[in-house]
Amino acid sequence: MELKADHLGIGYSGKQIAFADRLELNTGQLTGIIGINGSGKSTLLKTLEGNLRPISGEISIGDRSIMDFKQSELAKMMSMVSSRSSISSALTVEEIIRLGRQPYTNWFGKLSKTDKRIVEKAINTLQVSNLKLRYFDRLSDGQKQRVMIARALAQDTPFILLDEPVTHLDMYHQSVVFDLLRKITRKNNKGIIFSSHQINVVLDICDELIVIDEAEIYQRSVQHWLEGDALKGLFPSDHIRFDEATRRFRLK
Amino acid sequence: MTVLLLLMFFTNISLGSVGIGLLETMRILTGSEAVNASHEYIILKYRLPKALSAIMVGCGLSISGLLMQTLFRNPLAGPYVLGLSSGSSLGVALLVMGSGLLGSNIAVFAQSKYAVVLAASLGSFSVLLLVMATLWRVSNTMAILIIGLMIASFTSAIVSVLSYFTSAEDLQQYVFWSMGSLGRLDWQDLGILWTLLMMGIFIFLYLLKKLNAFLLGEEYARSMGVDTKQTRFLMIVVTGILAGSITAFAGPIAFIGLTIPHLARQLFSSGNHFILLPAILLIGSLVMLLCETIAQLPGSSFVLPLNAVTSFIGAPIVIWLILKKQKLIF
Repeated sequence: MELKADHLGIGYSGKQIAFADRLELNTGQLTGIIGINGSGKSTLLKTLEGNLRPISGEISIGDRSIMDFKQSELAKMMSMVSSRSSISSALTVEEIIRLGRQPYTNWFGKLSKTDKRIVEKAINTLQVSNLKLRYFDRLSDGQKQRVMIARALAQDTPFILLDEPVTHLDMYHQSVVFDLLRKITRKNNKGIIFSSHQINVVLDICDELIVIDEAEIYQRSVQHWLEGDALKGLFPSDHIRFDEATRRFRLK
Repeated sequence: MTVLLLLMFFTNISLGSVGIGLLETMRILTGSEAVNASHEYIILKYRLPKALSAIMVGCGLSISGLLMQTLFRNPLAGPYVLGLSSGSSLGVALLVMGSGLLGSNIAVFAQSKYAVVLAASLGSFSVLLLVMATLWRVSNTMAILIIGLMIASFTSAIVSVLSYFTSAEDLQQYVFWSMGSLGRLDWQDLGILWTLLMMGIFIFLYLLKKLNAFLLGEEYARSMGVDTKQTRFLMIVVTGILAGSITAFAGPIAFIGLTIPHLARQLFSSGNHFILLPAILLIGSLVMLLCETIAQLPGSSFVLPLNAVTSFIGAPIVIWLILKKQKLIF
């Protein structure tokens, strides 16, 4: 399945902050979004999720505009992991992950056998089964992030969008999360799109890369980015340079 | 807990300025011959409606409070955040204090119970409409919270100005109303309140699953397929109708809406609305009956203002629970 955007202008209250001629995201692909602070990474994710109206252009899933989806139908196509959200401290990890099944349950939210199996699978994939009965606010940042990814996985959508999933994590837990994202993309055939400031890691693990630079949004394969000169201009050159030999951004 | 509630229900009915034995109370309520005919009259005419209204008020306010806390994701929210009881107060203040200035005919009308109920309903309803109007324009939930609080301050300011210019008698009537009392409700009022309460509970049941999604924040709720606009609208309508009608009939009653949901969360260590709904209905009824019993000062002919009793009883319980658990579960 494809998540596509054509002539997409994104922004708030009628003011465009960036424009993408064409984006094409596929299931089974891991896509990173990079760009400096304020470039519009979160705005792009929110627009793709359908939480923010595009200024112009159209977003579609499998050739059907997301405007034509009901909220409940869209919830079966895309799930998200937000970077800033106040989760109630009065919910257990298991309750939160089960909430992911909401688009599929009846009005009373009763989980069927299938629902329970999918929840259990998500819990195992993210290795949070030992946390099941813990309250969310008692978890470490790394555990919280794994729980929220498990919830998104339980929602069982072709696409998962994550806004800066590793921001508060130390290097070890960053690599744990990145590893999981890569694994889920391959094993569960998900289209995962995430924004991050960890450019070097993004270059290592992603298939596709979306770069937001000076109000323009470009999508190319990582290979394509590495071969051209495009990455060199991403940051002002006074402090950071791109070292082609090691495929790494370095401090000058 | 259900047993406790039943016990409290009968205790409430049997206690009052005239003590009626528990056995006698049960006998009257189950329809068998009463030993004392005047006891039967007291119970069926006064105590039973009062006990039932305590239960309904407890349930209604708890539901409103829980809805507002979930909607605003704020542990300090309650039915009052929408400015509804302030609206009712303004309506009653205008009626009671304003009528004095307008001549005797209206003043007589103003004394009647239904005029007060009508004024209070109109007051809370216009505030509700005002909140809805802002809801139409503003999509930010925090903005609605602030607007509600501002409306509340604004209306209480008008009430203070009014009371400054009003006669001592009219002021006293207003103050009595603002102390809250369940003694004003007759069987017919109970019928109205019951219908509204049932409607509120039905909408709550319809919203149950979505309310749990709201615990992750509105963004997550939407991503899980919840129509957040419609849900938010229903939450506010239910709160408006329940809190508005209760204030209209019984006057402002503090604390219950704010604290019962906290009691339920602390006692059951959960924010899950499937657990919280039965919990707040039980605890709300129980606490309200308890407060009502105490307000009667059993054995004496004095009656304490209900509005004060609810705070006297409730606030220490919540403080104690939080100190015990060392943490506010929210």
